[in-house]
Amino acid sequence: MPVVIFFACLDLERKSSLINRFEWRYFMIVAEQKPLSEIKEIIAPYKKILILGCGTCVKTCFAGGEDEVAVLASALRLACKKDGKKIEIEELTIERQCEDEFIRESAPAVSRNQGVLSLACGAGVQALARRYAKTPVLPGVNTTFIGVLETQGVFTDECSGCGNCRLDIFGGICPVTRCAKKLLNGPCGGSQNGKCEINPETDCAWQLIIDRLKTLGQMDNLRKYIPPKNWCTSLSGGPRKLVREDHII
Amino acid sequence: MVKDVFVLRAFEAGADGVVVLVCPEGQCRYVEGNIRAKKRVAWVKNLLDDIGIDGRRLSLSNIAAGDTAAATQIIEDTLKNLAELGHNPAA
Repeated sequence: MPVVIFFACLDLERKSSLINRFEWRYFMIVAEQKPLSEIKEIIAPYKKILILGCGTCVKTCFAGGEDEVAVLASALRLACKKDGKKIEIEELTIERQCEDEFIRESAPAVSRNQGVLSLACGAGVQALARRYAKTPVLPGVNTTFIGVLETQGVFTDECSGCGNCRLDIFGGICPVTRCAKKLLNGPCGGSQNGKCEINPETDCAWQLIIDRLKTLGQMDNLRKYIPPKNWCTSLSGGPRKLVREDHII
Repeated sequence: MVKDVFVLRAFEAGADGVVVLVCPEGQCRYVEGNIRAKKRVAWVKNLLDDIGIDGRRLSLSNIAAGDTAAATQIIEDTLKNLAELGHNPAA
């Protein structure tokens, strides 16, 4: 009976130690891999599939970098073999799936396969679909939020991309994203011990805002009335587009 | 560093079981390496359950360097467990 034995001496996670030492924080799009059962259903119609990773945001949050591509490919091969299904899986990771310059590198691999399972965020999936119009591009992760790496393995939602940033008033803490009620003119009164009444594990954003404004000596900011937010700059205004004429040739 | 995928590839190669041996907790040369290994193995065990080949095929044990008697016992126990589980269905 074949048994494999690993003697494991794991090195320190260099990134973790650096973050702890210098309190570095990474801002990124945060995603998590879909459950294996869902991915199996998504790729079921295909016999040859390319799992395409993205080496930027989703790599940092352990959802779609080179390592995750390798693990998913191996898991799918095992699952298909166990189920008696034949599938060929090719693995590739490019630097970024949201830029055509990098997407181009995947063209030969894409042409060899019937479909692409992208482990990038939703923007990456769509950028691939745009470039490879005749190849099905399938999502392998659920894109969740724009966040920061708090500490190794912990990611928090920090930005909703509302299109009209007023962090200058709120001491650099966003109530649109981090207050469960999205209140713009002070706390709701439901928080206790600095925690949100919706989820006691979540810091009350307004407690954080007030603490920070005190530190900055900017408590007068709270005397300003913030009018109801115009959500036209967010998704409520429909798909958005950013044009930088100075970068267009 | 033992990555998750190396464990999975062992199963792809036809292994019926995988044993990861680490130093006793608090005695890792790399401080927290064996703690990370424990968490990583737990994660892969869940993945093996999702795959359908049974997470019990993978185990982690802490043993002191040079403790061959303990290693022998671990391997014997593993073979006994694998005899109950049968062959790797994805082999």
